[in-house]
Amino acid sequence: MDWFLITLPGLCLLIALVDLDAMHAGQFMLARPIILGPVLGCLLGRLGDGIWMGILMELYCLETLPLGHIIPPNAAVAVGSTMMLLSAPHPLAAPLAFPAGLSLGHLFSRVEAAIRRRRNGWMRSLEQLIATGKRVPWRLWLAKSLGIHVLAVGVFLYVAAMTVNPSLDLLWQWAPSEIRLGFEKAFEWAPWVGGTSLIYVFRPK
Amino acid sequence: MDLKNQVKLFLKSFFLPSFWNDQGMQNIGFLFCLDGWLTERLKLDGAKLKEARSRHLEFFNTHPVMSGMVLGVTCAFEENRKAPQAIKRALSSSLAAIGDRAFGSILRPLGAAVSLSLCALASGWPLPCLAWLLGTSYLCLYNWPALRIRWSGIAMGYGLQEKIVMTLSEKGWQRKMELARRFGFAVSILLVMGFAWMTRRGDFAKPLFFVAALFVLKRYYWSAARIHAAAIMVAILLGLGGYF
Repeated sequence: MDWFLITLPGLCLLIALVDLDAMHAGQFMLARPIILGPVLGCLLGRLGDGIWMGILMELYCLETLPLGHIIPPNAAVAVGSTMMLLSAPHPLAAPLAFPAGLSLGHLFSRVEAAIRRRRNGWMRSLEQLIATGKRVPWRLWLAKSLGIHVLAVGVFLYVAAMTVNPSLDLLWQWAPSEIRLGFEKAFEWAPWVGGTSLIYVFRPK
Repeated sequence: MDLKNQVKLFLKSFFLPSFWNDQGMQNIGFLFCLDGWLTERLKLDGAKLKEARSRHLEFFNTHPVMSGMVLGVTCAFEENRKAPQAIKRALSSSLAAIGDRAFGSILRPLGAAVSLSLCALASGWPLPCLAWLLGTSYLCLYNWPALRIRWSGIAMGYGLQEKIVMTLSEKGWQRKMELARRFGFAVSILLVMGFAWMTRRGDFAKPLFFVAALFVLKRYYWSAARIHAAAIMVAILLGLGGYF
């Protein structure tokens, strides 16, 4: 019960706050999986898994850049959800938690796109404020922008952990051995896929 | 520019993308950074403030690390009552291209490659030490140049104004980026070969063939996540065929 009421909400809040660094505030790279993975691993008592998942997720998310309207998969959500799925009361196997986390990171980019679209209305409000010569409440707007993002990430992660974890756990138990073996083999190949991504980023152009 | 204003602009520039929107991208964030300069330093009010604020509501997008330079130039232009729109537009797009390549495509992966290599060299260390080494090396490698450019860019833009374009081209960004890319390429190849040596005990043929095959997929714009999904399907089919 502690997991659902204390640990999980606390983790969701922590990941959501750190994720602000990815774009909204700072850009110190604290939200990169290579940093967040070991931190979450340390907090959850699975440092080895945290380091390994952080490295793999970093390599998988290297090649995508937030250019203009392109919203890459959210790397912090991906590594955060992977670590939560690995450490839940009914923990998922790493070969399943890893692609599940990646998919959740991809899914969250849709949520981010929706938040950005919603912020278009701010332009009209700002134009009106400027036209009427009123004071622009910058601090309120900043708090609102950061707060909406924290809330979106936190709620997304909590709902994902509450729904994805038990359903995938059940599916994994029912799945034929060939399917489980397929996930395990693909996870064994993951460092090579990540290594290739790293080399590919630096290829001569 | 005095230190107080430089610090203010520097700190505010960290929130530049906070107001990102589809219409003007970072325009609201840019006005947020500049508003204090307009009202407190230039003491604009009434119609002049309205006009200055409206000028900065036009589309704006650049790399956050390079935003300091654009902010510096714009502050100087506003102070000298010169129209900043054209230089702001030109600088933001060219600095975005430099920033995306230097920080997004080179320095970020280079930080990962170097910190992973350091961890591989220190593989016998206890896990907490490895985690610390991984984190600090990555953060230092990225943040040292990023913070330096963000901070000094403000004063540089303010001091040089339109001459900044010439200065930037003289700085040899392209040559430095190419050197960093080559270094990253060498480090990542050594890293993958080192991993092959550790896991396959010197048998390079299979992993290198595998990496080459993945490289071909990358040429066709397959992302790592897509390759992973395909790998799961292939492994399931091979399992069903009794290969494993």
